[in-house]
Amino acid sequence: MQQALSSIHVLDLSHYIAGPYCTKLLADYGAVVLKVERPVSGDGARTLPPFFGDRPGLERSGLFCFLNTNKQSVTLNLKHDRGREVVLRLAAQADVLVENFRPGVMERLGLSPGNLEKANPRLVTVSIANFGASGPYRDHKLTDSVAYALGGWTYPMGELDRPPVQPGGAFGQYVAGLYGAIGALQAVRHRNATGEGQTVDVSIQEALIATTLYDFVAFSYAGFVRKRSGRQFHLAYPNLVTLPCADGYVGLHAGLPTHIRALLELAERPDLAADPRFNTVTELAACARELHGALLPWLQKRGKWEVYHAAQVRGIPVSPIPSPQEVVEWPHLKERQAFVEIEHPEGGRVKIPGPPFRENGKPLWPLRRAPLLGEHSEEILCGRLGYTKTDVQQMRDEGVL
Amino acid sequence: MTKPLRVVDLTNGWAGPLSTCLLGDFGAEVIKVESPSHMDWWRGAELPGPPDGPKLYEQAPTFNTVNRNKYGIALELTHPRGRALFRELIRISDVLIANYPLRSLRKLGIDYQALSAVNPQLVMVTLPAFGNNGPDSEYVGFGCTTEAMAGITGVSGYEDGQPQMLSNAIGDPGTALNTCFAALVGLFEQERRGKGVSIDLSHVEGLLPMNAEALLDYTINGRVQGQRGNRHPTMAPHGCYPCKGDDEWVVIAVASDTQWEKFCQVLGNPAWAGNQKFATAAGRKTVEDELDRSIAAWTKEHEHYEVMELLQQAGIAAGAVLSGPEILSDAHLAAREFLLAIDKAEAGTHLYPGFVPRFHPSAGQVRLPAPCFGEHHDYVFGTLLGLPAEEIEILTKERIISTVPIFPTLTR
Repeated sequence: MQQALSSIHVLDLSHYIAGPYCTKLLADYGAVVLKVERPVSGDGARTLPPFFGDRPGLERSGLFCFLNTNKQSVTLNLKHDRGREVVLRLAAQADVLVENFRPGVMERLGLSPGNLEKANPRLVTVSIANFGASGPYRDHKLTDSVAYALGGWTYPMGELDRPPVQPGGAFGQYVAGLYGAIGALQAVRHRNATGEGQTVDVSIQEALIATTLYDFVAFSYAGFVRKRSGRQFHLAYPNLVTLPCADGYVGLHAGLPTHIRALLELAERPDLAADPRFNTVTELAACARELHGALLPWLQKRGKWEVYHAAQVRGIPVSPIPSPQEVVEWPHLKERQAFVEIEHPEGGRVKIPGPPFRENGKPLWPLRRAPLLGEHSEEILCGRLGYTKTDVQQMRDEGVL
Repeated sequence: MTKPLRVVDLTNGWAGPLSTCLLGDFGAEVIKVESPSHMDWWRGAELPGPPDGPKLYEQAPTFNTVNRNKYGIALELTHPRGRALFRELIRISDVLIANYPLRSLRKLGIDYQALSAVNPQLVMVTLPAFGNNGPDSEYVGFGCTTEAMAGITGVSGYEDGQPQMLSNAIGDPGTALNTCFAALVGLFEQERRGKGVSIDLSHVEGLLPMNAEALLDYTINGRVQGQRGNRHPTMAPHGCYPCKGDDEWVVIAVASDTQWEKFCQVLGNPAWAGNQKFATAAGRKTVEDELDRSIAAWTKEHEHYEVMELLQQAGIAAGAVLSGPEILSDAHLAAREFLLAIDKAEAGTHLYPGFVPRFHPSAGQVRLPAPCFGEHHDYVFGTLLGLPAEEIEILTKERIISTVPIFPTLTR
């Protein structure tokens, strides 16, 4: 099936999350993605949970299964001369190369920008690194918690009398992957127009900083340091908050004075809805406790989905703070087929989030399951590069494949 | 690029404007459309002060961050002449990004069907919070709403506590990245099929991958994850520890037993660490509170950057928890020249996030600061659409375009 990105060939040397999410985005919209994995152990993401039936195994990671749809897998030992020769031949045929090794590793593997340019002057190389390719933290280690801390996400989050708390999920990795995918397409467009290849560098720390804006920019403007404000989004916006209800929590996201008024009317407090203090953003900050106190008795008699629907039909942004289970079972996402099922030899029918957007009025296209380790080695080496079956066997014996 | 892309930005707030800002950073000509009676609400939710006072709506750090590299116009789309001009603009543009549902645009006569008649090559991305169809598609949301609906808020907060709203919504910038990517995919699709495309982008669905681990744990194993706080399912120690300064913190993540040995060496092999129950990750997980108290006693003696460097030199992941001012002075970001100083009329010179990603050799550029309200009518209506100056004056008089926000109702 021809799709938007079918003309783009991607050589994917990346592993774990950020790089593979970048190439997954390209692959799910049609790019031909060839994933190069280490022989025997493969991409480290194969060791990441959740596993099918909670049993680890190279072909049992649900996360790997999600991150690598629509890709082909070739195993190659990049430290071996013949492995390098094969990868340079693959680079010569590719439009985009994506890698997220530690800085300096590509050079050590003989895949420096110079060597890659020699192999293919039209190549776009996307590098995703923890802290980018330069600077004093270049070689520092990064976990999700470290990324959030140095990316400015953790400091303003949590209770003032407790340590700051990191956000849930691992979105630093996904945000970096998205920036990589955007960079890849921008650079391919540029290449198509000018013939000039390009390197595209993403720092996970910078990717996270670029997704914040209430702290350092605000400080640059007004010298304001935002302190932690508990379950409120921001001390200045107490109307953005999670509050308890009968069966869990709801998120109030009443960003505008009109929302507050409608909310107070809904919560059977027309007296406060008419009170001018609750009608301006600045005065509201001073009477936050009163606002929450006025809403709580009403909320405590109602379930979160009831509150969500009652508020939303009145145009008030409210969420039921769903658990992961409730997200998967939310009828709205079901009707939109936001999750798709993929048949996997070890996992059976595996339900994963589908592609992030689609053409209006068109059905979802089928996604191919993530490849088994080295599943396409022979097909690629013989079919694309013209090696014989004997060559392939020899490379297997030498530990190249 | 040979011929720059022209993008019409009919969005406000954070998600939409940041998506077009990304396109503008790398060379696209972006035209931001506000309305005389409805300025982008990110210029400030409060009403502007008296007409001769300071223009507060030009001084919002939020608005000014995500609208650089754009031309700005204020065009009344509820007026037939305003809509006609909008269609003329679409005729000469490549991409339209609108954070309204298609049904709202249809009422104005600027939905995809109407606009593709004017420009069959148009790539259009609409980004209503919940998508263009489905039972809850009429519902509304900010970033806090959409990230909650993707289940991210539900897994955020202290391990012993309640769901915690994120303090910087990922819902908005996450959607901005998805939208920018969608517009680029749309351009490739337009080239492939030789005609335009209309894309439906639901904020919520684009955010699901960012919560993949928790969602997959449910779909695969039926396990419902909750808040983890600063803890990790297998790593210990893994937490946020107090340092010497006021409200100063460091995060530490010890990933293996070998790293634990190195960690103890950095601390000078204190007696408490020699206890056998700390020797394995599984053992450390069972006494995490005790472990955290002992580590906190050590971190409290040092500054956060000092702890980070001591541990990083030993190969252990650690990071200072940076506040806003610390990001402005961080040595690594400074060495990489990440932040950009941009001067904007009425706001002065301030620091903003730099370019992500970095391209070599064709680097991003700041060609324009965020536009003042209705700043570029001469360029857009005069130079691009060829209207004579007198006509622009008439449009202004008739309030079809405006260089000051007009507030028809001064009540809320």
